[in-house]
Amino acid sequence: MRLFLTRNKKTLAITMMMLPGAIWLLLLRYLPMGGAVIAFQDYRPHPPNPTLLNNILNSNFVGFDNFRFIFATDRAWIMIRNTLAYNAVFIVLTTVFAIAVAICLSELRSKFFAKLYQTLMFYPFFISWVVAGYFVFAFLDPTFGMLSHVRDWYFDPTGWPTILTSAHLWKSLGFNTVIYLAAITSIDHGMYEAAAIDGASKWRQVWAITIPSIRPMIIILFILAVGRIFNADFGLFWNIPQNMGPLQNVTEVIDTYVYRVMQANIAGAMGMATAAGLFQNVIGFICIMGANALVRKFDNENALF
Amino acid sequence: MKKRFLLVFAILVATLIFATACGNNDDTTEVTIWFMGASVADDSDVVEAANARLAELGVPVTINPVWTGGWAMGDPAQIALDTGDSSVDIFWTGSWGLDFWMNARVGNFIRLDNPDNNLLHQYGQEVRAAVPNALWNAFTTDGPSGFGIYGIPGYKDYAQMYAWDVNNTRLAELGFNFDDLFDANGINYDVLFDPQFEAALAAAKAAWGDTFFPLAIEPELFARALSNADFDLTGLHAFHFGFDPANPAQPVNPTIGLYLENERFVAVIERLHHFWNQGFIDPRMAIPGEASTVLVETRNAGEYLFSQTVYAYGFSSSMVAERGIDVRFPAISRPIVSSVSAAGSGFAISVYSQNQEAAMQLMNAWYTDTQLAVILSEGVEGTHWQRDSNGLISLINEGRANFSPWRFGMGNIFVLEPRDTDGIGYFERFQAYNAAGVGTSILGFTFNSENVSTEMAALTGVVDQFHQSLTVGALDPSVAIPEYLAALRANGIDTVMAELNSQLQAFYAAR
Amino acid sequence: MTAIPQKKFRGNSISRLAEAAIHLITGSIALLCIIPFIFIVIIAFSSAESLRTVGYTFFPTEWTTASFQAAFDMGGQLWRSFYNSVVVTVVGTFLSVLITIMYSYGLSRTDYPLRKFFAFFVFFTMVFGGGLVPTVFVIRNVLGLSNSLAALIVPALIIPFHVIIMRTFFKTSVPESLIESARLDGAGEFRTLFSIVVPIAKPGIATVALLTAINYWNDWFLALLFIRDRDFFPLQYLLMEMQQNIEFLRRNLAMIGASNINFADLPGEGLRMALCVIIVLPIAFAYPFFQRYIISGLTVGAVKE
Repeated sequence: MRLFLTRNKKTLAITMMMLPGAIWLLLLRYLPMGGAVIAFQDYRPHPPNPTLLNNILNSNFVGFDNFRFIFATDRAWIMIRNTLAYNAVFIVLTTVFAIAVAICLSELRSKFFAKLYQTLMFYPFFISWVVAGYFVFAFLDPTFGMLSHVRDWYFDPTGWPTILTSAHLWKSLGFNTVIYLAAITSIDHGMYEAAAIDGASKWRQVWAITIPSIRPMIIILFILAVGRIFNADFGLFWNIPQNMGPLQNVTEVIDTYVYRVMQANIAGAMGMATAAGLFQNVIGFICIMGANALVRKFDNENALF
Repeated sequence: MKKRFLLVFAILVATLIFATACGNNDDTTEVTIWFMGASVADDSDVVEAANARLAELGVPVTINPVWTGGWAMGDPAQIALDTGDSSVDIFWTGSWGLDFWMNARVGNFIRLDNPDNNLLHQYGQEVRAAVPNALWNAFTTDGPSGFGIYGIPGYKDYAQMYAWDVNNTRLAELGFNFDDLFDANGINYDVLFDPQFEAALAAAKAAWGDTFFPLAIEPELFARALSNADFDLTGLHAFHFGFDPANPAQPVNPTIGLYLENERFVAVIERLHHFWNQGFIDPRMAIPGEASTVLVETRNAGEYLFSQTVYAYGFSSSMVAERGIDVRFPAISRPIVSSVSAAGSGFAISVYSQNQEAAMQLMNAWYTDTQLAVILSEGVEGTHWQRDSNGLISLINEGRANFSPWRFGMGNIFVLEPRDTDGIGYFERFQAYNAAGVGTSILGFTFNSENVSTEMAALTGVVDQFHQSLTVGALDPSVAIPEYLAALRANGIDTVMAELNSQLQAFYAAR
Repeated sequence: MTAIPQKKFRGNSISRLAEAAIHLITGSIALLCIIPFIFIVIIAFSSAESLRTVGYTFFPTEWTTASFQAAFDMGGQLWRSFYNSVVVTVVGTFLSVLITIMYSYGLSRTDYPLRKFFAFFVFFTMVFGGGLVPTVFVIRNVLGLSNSLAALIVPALIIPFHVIIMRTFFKTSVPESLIESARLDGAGEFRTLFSIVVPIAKPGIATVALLTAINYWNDWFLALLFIRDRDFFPLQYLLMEMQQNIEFLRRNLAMIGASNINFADLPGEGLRMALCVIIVLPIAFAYPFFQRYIISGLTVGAVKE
């Protein structure tokens, strides 16, 4: 250790920089990780000294009992299918749209309009799903809705995959665009200049310079998104369909199901929720490792780790 | 550069120190109590007055109320309990909101009559005597410290009555006579099937147009009237206890069935579906996220003909005043005392509390001392209220704007003093109403879902899929009921029902 | 800039027609994104009577400022919460971005031997956690954070997603040769980071700062977990509490009994929307501040002016 410290001043300096972050991660993320063991327990307080540690040490282990509820429902398949399918569609569409819009904005001659459009696109990110729910309801309201004559929205699941996908795009587009836009901004401008002198068309420049330059960002965002493929956006799936039962086939996802169970005051719901979270994490971990391995195979430089 | 770096670290360290310094400084005699359902912006005067009164009474406790979360405090409070928050000593709890029975069983609340440490005997003999036994029974359950009392019941309108909410102003406009339709002193359950009732709805629809929905249905109220409030014992809204709204004590020792298989309930659903098809019911009522807002707003605006409600004593006069119309509340059921209504509101001491004895002392004082109770419910004399010429409490609106807690839900309302709007002798009349309540034949029974929690979880999804739409009449019962039943069975309703019945049989045997 | 690249700049920009098309497309998307916000503003100015009789609509029958008056009537609490939100956002963003920059810089240095370890160290916390219960326990009981603004700041200091994004920005926008030459000039690691790398990576840093600021501004969940005293309520939690109250009553109305609730105390739709507007506006106004670094880095026609 001493050898390592004295030998490499640079390493030491950089390690010092990482220290605040590393300590934070250690305290706020790694320290609590041991507590995930309650997913396998019938967790209960144990007086007279009911600290977390004491409770964990004294609670009974119940194996995978807390996980059973995820698969005990006859709609387990439906909610897993919905979670995966929506997320897959969301990842693809958001990436494509965000990159396209970012490139478009970067090509606008008027910076004023580029800024204006970009600012406006970010607004949905400020609006909570609860409030967005009111907005959607304004259109679909069976009595006063602007689209109430089209169909009986809340009893007919047909339109909902489109509604939910549009709502997701609407909310996440600005967020993703800004990241890609910043990535495009960082591209070395000499490259375009040289390409233009060589007579490359704008279209050609996009494919030959812009996309390859932001490729690391695309890959990273993709890998991270894949890691959350089992975690649905609860706010979207709960607030937009307004918990309408007849739509469950196309709106129920793992997270809404877990929320329902939490709301029901069932004994042991806390263990169940922890178990569900752990389950989603394990699947996410596997997916992320898979995606990362895939990336490493083709593009080692840009893999996550 | 190093200097800049040091500065950064100094900021970080300072933040941490700041953070630690800002942590709670628990005073040993300060008891933190988490109230609910209140709109309180500023309680400083009240806390000061309450603490002064506690000192006067010689109770070595000061009070630190938490109002966070309002009506929805159940969620943050549950998280506080689950994460072992020791900064809150007493939690409001009830059959809705922070669930009493589940938390008591898990061990989040302490047993008050624990033979090893009998707080109720040591510090709470007065409160024990002040509250009737039927209520203590609802707070008696099986927890980690044995079968005993795990909470202090709220002493309030524990008898619940379901009633019609009739907009008589509009009914009269249509030329119908209230007394032809309803029996003001009887049980009006069957009015739903009266042809006159439908005629009135049709007339209202014809008179006030397409966007007027004369039947503002309270979802599931009929299911509750038929199954009593114990309908909600499991939280699943699926069970029926074989129950006659006119005579809640019958039948004796019923077994549990599914309400979907109860003829009388199916008849209600069919009738409502018939009304739904004629446009008498607002289609928004089928949307769980919208239903209550719509219901509340249409009722408050008087834009309805018939609605239903859970009636509470003294309700009618305040509704007439608030809505500015003639509102009548003919009964759908008798006043019923059920496990759920008895456990409707109460307080429990957290297992994580460091001040359990002081907490019990505070509860004892609050439940029995009129001055203290009035301070915590109505505020400080001169700031929040004043005495009128009859010596009754008259609210001062400016003061109450910052402090209007839930008066009739917390603690012992019968040590309060009547307001000028209540009139003299109000609480005596209120007691009489409570006394008229009939106990259901399964009063005192509570359900422990531990053995069937997986099935319960699976069933919540099924219930959410059908329940709301079905109970407002939006679904065709001939199609939806068989589908609903099949889905319930596929997700283990029979297992839950068997567990319920076996617990119920054990309860009868012990009675 | 000399005249020659100026000429090329014209040659390398998109055609007028293409630009018009981009204006049309991005402009319409921007419009779609801002309409719901306009809608919220309209509801905030609609009378309760109008909301009841015609529902949510762009064309209320009656306009009023009653909702905003009601919001401002909350007086002390509103301003107190506003102040809390501002302090939490400003201090939190500063500390968070600082720690994130230092951490991700190390990760981006290919000559830093521990980068793989630290990359995994932060990444792993993205997929695995101890769950809510142990995390809250550690923050409250081990770190002693509750009922203070620090409890709203510290738990969100590091967002692993931002660290990884920032690392990607560093990797793609800062040439290693530059760092190497700074080192040869005798600059220490801190100096290299703050006076050479940070200015180059401004678009990326501004993006992360923006996302962090929004994260702090929009947060209500930390308040739900750690704040009991209304003095420390952030603005979002005030709104959230109202919304949860209403949501709660929706679920439990039949059980509570309408008589137990004084409905006059419940905020109307208008007040909630007014609060939404009050919450969105400050951060929306702060937006251009961040955006200056994100978009201004963009050069029209890909040539630096």
